[in-house]
Amino acid sequence: MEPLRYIDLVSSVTSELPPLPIADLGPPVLHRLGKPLNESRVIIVTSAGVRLRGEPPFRPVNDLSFRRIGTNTSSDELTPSHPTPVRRPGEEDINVVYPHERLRELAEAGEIGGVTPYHLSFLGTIKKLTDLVTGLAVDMVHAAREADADAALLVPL
Amino acid sequence: MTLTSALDVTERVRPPRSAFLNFPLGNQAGPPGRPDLQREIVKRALALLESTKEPGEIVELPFEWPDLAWQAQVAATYRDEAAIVSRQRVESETDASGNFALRECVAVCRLV
Repeated sequence: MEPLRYIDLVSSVTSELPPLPIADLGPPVLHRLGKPLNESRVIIVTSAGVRLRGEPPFRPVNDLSFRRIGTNTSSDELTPSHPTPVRRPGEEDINVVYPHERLRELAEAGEIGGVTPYHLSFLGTIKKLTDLVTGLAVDMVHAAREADADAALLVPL
Repeated sequence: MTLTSALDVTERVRPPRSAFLNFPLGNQAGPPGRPDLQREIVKRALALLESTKEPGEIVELPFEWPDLAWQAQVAATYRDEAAIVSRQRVESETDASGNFALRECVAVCRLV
C-alpha cells in the first residue's frame, strides 16, 4: 500500500492557508554508535507532548519547553498533549508514541544495554524553528547527555 | 533513530536514520494494546542504529496495519477536524506580518 502523504492531506484541509512549511535542515549527518547496541543506554524523545496527568498540558502551539519523565512512571499516569487527531492512539495506549514499557522489556532481554533514568517529552506543534534548533533542541541534547544516553529513539508527531 | 509514520515529511526533513512504519500517524510504535508487536517494532527500529550505512537512510519495517481502509479513515478524520488543524496552523505559523514559518524554514537551513 502506498504511504499516505500527510503534507498533501494537511494542505488540502487547510487550503485557505499558505503552503505547509517543512523545515529544510540540510544534509543529514550520521554519528556512529559509540558502543554495541546491547551495551547502549537508550533515551526516548517524543514530540507527542506526553505529560503526567496531574501536570498542566503543553501549550497547544509553539511551546518551547520540554519535560523529563521518570523511567519508572507508570503508563496510567501519562497522557499526550497533541491538539490534532494524531493524539488519539496515544490516549488509548501511551506506548504507541512513548514506548517506555517496550524499551524496558528490551533492556531486560539484553537487546539494549539499558534505559536512561528519564526520557524527554515536548510538543511538536512548533513553527518557531530558529528557537527550536538553537534553544530547545540544544537543551534536550544536554539533558540526554546528563542522563548518560548513548542513543535516542525519536518518536515525532 | 527516528520512528516515523509520515514518509513524505521524513523525506523532506531527512533525519540521520529512520524506520518507516506504514501505519496511521500516531501509532509509530504499533497499535494500542499490542505489546508484542510494539516490542518487535521498537526492536527492529533500534537495530538500525547499528546497520544504517548512509546518512538519511529510511528503512521500511515489514508490518501491515490490519485494517486496509485506514487511509480513508484518517483522511476523513482530518476533514472532520479541519477547523482544529487549521486553527493550529494559523496559531503556530503566522504573525502580524504574515506566514513567518515559511521564512523560518529557510532561516533554519542556514543554521545547520
